[in-house]
Amino acid sequence: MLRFLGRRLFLAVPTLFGVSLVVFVTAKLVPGDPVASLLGPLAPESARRELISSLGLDQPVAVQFGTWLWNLAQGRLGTSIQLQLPVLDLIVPAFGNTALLAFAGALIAFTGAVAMGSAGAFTSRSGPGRFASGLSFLAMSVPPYSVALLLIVVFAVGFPVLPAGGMHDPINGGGTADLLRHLILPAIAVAVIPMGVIARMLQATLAEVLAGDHITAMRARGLSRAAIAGHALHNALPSLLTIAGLQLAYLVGGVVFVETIFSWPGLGQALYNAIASRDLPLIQGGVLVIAVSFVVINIVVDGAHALIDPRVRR
Amino acid sequence: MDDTSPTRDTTTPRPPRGRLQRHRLPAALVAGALMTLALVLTAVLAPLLPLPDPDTGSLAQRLLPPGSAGHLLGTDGQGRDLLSRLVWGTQPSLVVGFLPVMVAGIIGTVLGIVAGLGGRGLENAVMRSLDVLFAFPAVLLAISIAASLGAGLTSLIIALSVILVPAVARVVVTEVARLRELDFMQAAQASGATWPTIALRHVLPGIVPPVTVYCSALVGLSIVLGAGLSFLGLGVAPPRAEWGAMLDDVRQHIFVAPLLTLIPAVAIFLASVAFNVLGEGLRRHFDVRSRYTV
Repeated sequence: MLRFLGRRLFLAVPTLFGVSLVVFVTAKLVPGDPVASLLGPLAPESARRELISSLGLDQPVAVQFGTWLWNLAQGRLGTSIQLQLPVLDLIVPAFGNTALLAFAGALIAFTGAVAMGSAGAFTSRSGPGRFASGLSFLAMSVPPYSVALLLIVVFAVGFPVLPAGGMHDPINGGGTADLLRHLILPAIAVAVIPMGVIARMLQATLAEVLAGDHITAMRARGLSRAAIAGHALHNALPSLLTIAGLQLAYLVGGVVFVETIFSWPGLGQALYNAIASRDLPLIQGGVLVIAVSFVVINIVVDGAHALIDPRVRR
Repeated sequence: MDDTSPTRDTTTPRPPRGRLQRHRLPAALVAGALMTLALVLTAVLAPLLPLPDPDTGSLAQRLLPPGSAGHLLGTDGQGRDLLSRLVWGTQPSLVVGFLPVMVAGIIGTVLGIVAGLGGRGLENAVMRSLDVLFAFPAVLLAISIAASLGAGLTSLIIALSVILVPAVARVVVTEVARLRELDFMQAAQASGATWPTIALRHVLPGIVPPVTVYCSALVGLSIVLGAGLSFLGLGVAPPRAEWGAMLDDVRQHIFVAPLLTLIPAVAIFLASVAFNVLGEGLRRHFDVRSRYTV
């Protein structure tokens, strides 16, 4: 098991290198002269040259990339152009808020998916099964921002039972209950698509398992439906876990839209504001942090997979 | 594909002839095709329909509710007719749906064939590079590319193409690996066919059907992401009507006119459903196994 994790961590090194290269290159693609936009068009030539050399822009691109990587390794992500604060100081608290939202979303997605997927597979030829199957198809197709707006229209405007945005009530806010009230709607909005995809995958896997000989044998020996369902779910668990891990990526992607709509102070909203003000260091930092945490999530999922299913540990 | 093509019956299992002749297509295929046709017709016929100008409105008539006289779906925050904007917005949304998928389909197919036929080293090089792109949540990668290139339809299409390439290429590599094991491929190699010949004559006809089916389902995703990027201000420049930009406009007034918000939101959802249903129908019709995720 330790050897498996060691190899998996080793394989992540080139991926992380590639990730930082992509983030670096996308920043280099930006049209226009960064020096001119920082100094304005009337700056004297000497000031221009000074800034160029202090930013390291007169170095070869490979050297610039090396410097950038070296700074990254030391946790220096640069300074936000708009807010004039270190990017890291802006990203760390936002990351925590996004992690909370993603965790709540994953919980909803996973619970809903297991319910819909099992209903679809175990009662595939009856009304509830077909309904669950259709529902997961629709859930898979619906844009996260449409869900977010629909939830606000229904639960915050039509029947004002839940807050339409923010993380705490500004007047008598604070406390876990208040936080949970603010968390419900955005968590549902980020959960819908992953829930649909996981449910459909689970349904397909369960259908395959249910066609297996060992299930027929259980039926022949008179096991109860619930017992058979338990066995089938156990068989489907490893692939369920893999898909669920992959789906975390979509969930994190949807977070940008949902946080913007619900004013949730996370990485997604930080990114949206950074885009609006063309604050490139902040965009780079945010994207990098999310991509790196995504690589880490994948390693954790692989590790959990190896714990459940020894065949993976080859 | 001519009848002598050896890929005919070995690669893509087709339904028996008789079924095709009796036109028993999967219901999902028919429904998906009809919805897609309706969308395309709306986009093409927009200039001919008797609709008010989508880009001008009067502030005196802003935020009219759906069902108002002269404005069937109401008006947006600048008094522009929402039905007209919805209809005119179909075209850019479809362009954003189709074009990136086509670009990614072609690039992904070429990359996948090169990786699949080029031997171990090349395959590793391509697949490891794609793994890097897979390490980004797709939406985020699209956002950072579009933000770097600057707002606009072109950078939106480039960004979406880039994020779809790895998904297509991975499917192609899997399909090529499956074909590689088949007898006719080994016969072609043994008879000394060069690899361009193998790629064009033997591999391409075999992978086009499954890749097309896979791509058809990506169109819905591309529409959703494209509208989402426009919603964030990274897409089509205002005042041009586009569903994502419309959504951004009406959501500013969600507490005053909540119903208006749902109009573009539902349009994007329906377009997404249309292409997902079409993809599912094509998949069932051509019996392509559903083992790929995006």
